[in-house]
Amino acid sequence: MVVYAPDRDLKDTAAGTASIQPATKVILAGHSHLTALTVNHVKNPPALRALRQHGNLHVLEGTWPRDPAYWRALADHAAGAHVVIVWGGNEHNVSFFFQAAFAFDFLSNKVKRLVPSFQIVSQSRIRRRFNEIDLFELDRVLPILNARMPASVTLVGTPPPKKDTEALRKLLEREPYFCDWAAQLGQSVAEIKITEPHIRLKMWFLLQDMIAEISERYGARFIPVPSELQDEDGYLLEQYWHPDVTHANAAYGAIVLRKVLEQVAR
Amino acid sequence: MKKGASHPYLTLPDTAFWSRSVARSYDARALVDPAAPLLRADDKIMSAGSCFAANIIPFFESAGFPYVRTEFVDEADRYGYHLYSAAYGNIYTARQLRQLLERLAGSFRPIEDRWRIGEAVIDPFRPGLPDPAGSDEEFDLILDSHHARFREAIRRASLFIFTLGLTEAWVSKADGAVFPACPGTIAGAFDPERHAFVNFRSSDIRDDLLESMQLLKRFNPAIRMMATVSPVPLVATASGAHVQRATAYSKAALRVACEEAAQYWPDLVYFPAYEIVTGPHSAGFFEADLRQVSPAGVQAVMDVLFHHSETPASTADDRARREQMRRAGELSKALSERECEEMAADRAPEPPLEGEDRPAKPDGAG
Repeated sequence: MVVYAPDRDLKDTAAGTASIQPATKVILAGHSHLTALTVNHVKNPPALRALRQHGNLHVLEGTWPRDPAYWRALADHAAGAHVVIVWGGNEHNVSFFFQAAFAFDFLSNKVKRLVPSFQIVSQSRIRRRFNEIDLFELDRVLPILNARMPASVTLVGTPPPKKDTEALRKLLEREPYFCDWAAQLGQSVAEIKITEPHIRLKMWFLLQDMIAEISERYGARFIPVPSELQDEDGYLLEQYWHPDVTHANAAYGAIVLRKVLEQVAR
Repeated sequence: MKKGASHPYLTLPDTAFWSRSVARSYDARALVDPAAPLLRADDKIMSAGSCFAANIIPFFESAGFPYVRTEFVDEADRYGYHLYSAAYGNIYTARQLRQLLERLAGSFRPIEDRWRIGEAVIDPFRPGLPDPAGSDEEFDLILDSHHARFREAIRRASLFIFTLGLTEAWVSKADGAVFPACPGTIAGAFDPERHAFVNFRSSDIRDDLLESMQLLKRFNPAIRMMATVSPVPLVATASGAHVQRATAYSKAALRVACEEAAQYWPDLVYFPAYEIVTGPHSAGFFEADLRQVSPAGVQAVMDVLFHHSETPASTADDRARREQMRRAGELSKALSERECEEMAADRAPEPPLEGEDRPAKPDGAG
């Protein structure tokens, strides 16, 4: 059973966040998980929008999917600012949300469970796939940002996976577009195999490690997902689910934003 | 012929005479005289061998014979691991096959079983496998998984097709473990103190084939084996001989070994791919490098094979399953893209942060 955060809770967390006033300009940017932190609008060309009447908090809005023009615009605004990026976060879902050609598992130092009957693949194989999807681009964007002398660059951890497979299936069934798409490919949303939760969790942990490693390589700060948003295993707590398969809600975003501002802007 | 004379040749069929079956009226299909269909209607095929073995796999699938696959590798790999039933890559010699099967049975464990190169732990017996392990623990897990899937493939298959490619190999001096490629060529480093060249004799190959057959039957008593000799010449020889002469020795030894092994074991049949491609009527069966078999050559081989085979019983389920798996990958990507597109639209149902500026509605009402 998925319980979504009521508006009252969202306002409470938002109020807590609003009390932090950054002294230096803060720019939030990134891919779709950024929308948990702030409402985003399609802007072409990309443009900064102030998030508060008073203060230095901004979001860089642009077109979806993000394109080179978006990252160039971020670089153009970066001088002297604290740049906060929510990069990717769906790499593990892009390739592996559904159990594709074979059931696999891999060694993880975060999740001990391993299904020996599944094909065991190397962690480097998963890493290569994540890099191919979009992490290679982060490797290009960060040095460009650094060259513009920002006050700091911060990468923010992305939402953990959602554990309850059947709840996810129900969410899928609410998406007519996807159901039609699946049907055209001969798939039934009701029956399609979703990758085991513990494997999705492993991939997410690996993704966080990779983003942290890239951050470190370029002298950027990495802020992991606050543990209060996760259950004891690391899955996203259900009260922070956005009603789709991959994203977190604004309550999640408010807590993450508070953590970010505490570290970046005080 | 002398009147009243009699001798054995008088009763032989045309195929016993070069003039009647090669010089005239040549039909490659006559090279096979199977006691039973080469491929049976319900066969599930597993194969191994040299590069030529990889070339013929798509033909089985397009003809409708299920090709057993239990281990998956990304198709981007350079060395064809993704082509075979359990990602074992090319197996060039009968000794290598025998040792692999002995490893599956637990009766052989190579002493030089891994190469540590930087942060990677490389499998010397799958040296070109993409994305190597990053630790001994991970290496052991992946190897155990590979062996389990190899055994599973054998259990599922009804026919194991082995294409013998080489007599020459590089082995570990410690225990004779055969490497698929000379250390240092694809991965690792060649060490003359540890690595040695061998050129197997036909009797070695025959015995290795027969032992391999026994090992296969240990995992699957009903499995049959078809042996072929790759018509592809050696790319290089370490024997000291001219490469053409080395090729002639290699193919002759392999051919003898197959013949003798097939005579010994009824469940092992020889299929004359080598003769079809290299025979007197094989013009156009090689590419310009005079080494790679042309599509016409491969087609000629498969035409003969399928001529002597039953029509596959049913493949709809297998094909549908594979297609469904492929589509699952597409759906994962589609799902993420779709959700990201949806996130691109303003998420109006959720309240903004306190003090957050809401843009005016498009119609200007807000």
